[in-house]
Amino acid sequence: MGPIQLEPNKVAAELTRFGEKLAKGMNVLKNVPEVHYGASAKEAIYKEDKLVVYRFKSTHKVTHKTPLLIAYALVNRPYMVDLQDDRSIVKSLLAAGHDVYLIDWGYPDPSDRYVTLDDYINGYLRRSVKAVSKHTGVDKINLLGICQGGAFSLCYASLYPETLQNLITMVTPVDFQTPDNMLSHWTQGMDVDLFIDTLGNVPADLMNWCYLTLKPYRLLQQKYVGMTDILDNPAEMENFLRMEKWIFDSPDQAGEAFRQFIKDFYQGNKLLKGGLKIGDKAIDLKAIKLPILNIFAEQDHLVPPNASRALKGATSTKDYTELSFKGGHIGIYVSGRAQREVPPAIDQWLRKRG
Amino acid sequence: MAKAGSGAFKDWETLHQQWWNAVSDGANKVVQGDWRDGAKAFGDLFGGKLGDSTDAATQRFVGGTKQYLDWVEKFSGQLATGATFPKDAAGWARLFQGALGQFGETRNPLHDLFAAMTGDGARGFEQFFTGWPNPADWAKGEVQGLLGMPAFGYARESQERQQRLAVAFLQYQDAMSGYNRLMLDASQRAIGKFESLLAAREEQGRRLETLREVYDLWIDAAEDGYAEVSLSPEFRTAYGNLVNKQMTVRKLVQTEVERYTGQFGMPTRTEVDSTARRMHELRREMRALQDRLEALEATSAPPKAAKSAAPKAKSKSTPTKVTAKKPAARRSR
Repeated sequence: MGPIQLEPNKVAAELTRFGEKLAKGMNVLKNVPEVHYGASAKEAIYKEDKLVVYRFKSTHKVTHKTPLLIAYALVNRPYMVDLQDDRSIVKSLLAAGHDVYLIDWGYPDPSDRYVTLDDYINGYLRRSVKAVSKHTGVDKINLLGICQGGAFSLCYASLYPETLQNLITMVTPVDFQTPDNMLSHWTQGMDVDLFIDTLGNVPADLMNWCYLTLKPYRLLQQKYVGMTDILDNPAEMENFLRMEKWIFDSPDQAGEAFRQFIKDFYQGNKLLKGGLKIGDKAIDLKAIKLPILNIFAEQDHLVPPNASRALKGATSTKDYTELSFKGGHIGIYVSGRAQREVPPAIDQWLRKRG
Repeated sequence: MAKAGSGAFKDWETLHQQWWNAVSDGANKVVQGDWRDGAKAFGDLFGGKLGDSTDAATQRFVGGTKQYLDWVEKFSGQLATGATFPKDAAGWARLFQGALGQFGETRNPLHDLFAAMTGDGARGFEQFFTGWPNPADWAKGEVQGLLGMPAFGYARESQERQQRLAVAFLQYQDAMSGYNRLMLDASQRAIGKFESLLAAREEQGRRLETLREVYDLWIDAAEDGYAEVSLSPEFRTAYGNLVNKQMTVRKLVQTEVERYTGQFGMPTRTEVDSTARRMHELRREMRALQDRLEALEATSAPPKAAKSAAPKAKSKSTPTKVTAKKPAARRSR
């Protein structure tokens, strides 16, 4: 017998089921409401340009004296950390007694074309930390940087360590040139100056196109064939559509910040190798001595695990912890496993360190 | 082994005819006519009636499903016309290749996949060239020769710009061709990977018993082939070259657009950028001054003891054991 054993009657039944799913799915799609996101109520405590720092309102008693500020990446929207009721890292952290804040960087428009990494890190991020400190009345806060936001947080921590109690990095690239980093590989031959001089801000659609072409068969085709399996399930369809909304709800990238990020981080790998300057300030990871929890995903195709593992030994901290998560770059926020493993790990780690 | 026209293959021929009927019957006859229109009909059914996220997802679903159904038709069609069922991985891989047809630079699964993508990020240049000579004509030998000729006379500058754009477009086409060659390579490798994955399953005594299982294994193989090529030094060069050549064309087109719109008194991209730059410089200066002001205020602030006498914020969620201040009322900028 060969490796494929197809029987006509079974295939016919399979195709009939496929058709039935389509039929039911039509009704489901017609009736599924516009999906919304956000499980936790929040209030703005600081605004600047398009940036807003939110504080999540908790119905639980805050038992951690040090507030936690989440700095997300620029390339997607931060509501991924509080997507829906049963998929929310924020909700779990609030339930564990944390006082949680979040930076929403906003959607850059052409007036933000000249916003630099200096503005993002020495400006927006520094003032966001300051705003949280001021709001809570503490001198130091905990910072949780996610993906590109993690790289920003490392830069920030090396420059302003006196403002931080603990640092958590999540799916954060540190070594931008691991052999399996497809995104990095693709950027090496790009003339970034020409790219930004031509485009100004980098259109979100172009960014999405790039991400989709990392795994084109899966992301452009197989995923939607798989959608047929849940077409007759309104609840699952709503979850699917919410994820779709998040994935394609992407801000344009401020041109100058993007230029430096590609040049210095991807092409120069300066965060790890040294020589990185943000504005007029040199970044030295060895200046970081505070406790670090580094969380990465084992099946991450955007930030390969080795890109994150490189943080080990790159700083001067004597309190370094790694958490390797069995999942991908997105599953680490929204999967059932993530809800069970990630927030409790963060909570326990912080609880031991104040 | 089954023969064409006999039992199993007779069934396959019937199946080939019936499979879409089964799908469309199940779909309450919504899908009418030629099956290729089926997925499109599914999308059209909802055109403009759904929320943004639902509508966008539906469009992507329609695209992906249509490609899947296209594959199902080709694959089942190949089964129906075959002389015998393949007996090993190599035979199935050949049959699979037969279903997909002969690959070429502009005809292979990856090319088809990317061609089906829509959106600004995937948009080509065709729409830029309305009113210009057809870019396809530039590729012709006699026109290429003209591109290097010196320009002169009243329209010299205009001619030089058009020549530069034409040359840039030809270089972009070359870059695209180089990229397409690698996509062809990735598609061809995918067939080999598919055979390897089938062989591995065969060794383990595991069989694929549904079309979906076959399809999913093909996707695994295709992604493997693509990843192998995408991480190669050749791809790195070709990808960079493609991006750079595309940007060169875009830049030259932008210059022309600016020239035309400027003539009608429209604000140009250069002007908008210049304004944005000045505004941003002012923002930075203002914040630097704000920082200095806050630093000065901090040094002249009353002692902490007096400060702690300020009223504490009362909130259930206020951190315990912490002297909490009222939420900042003013923006620190």
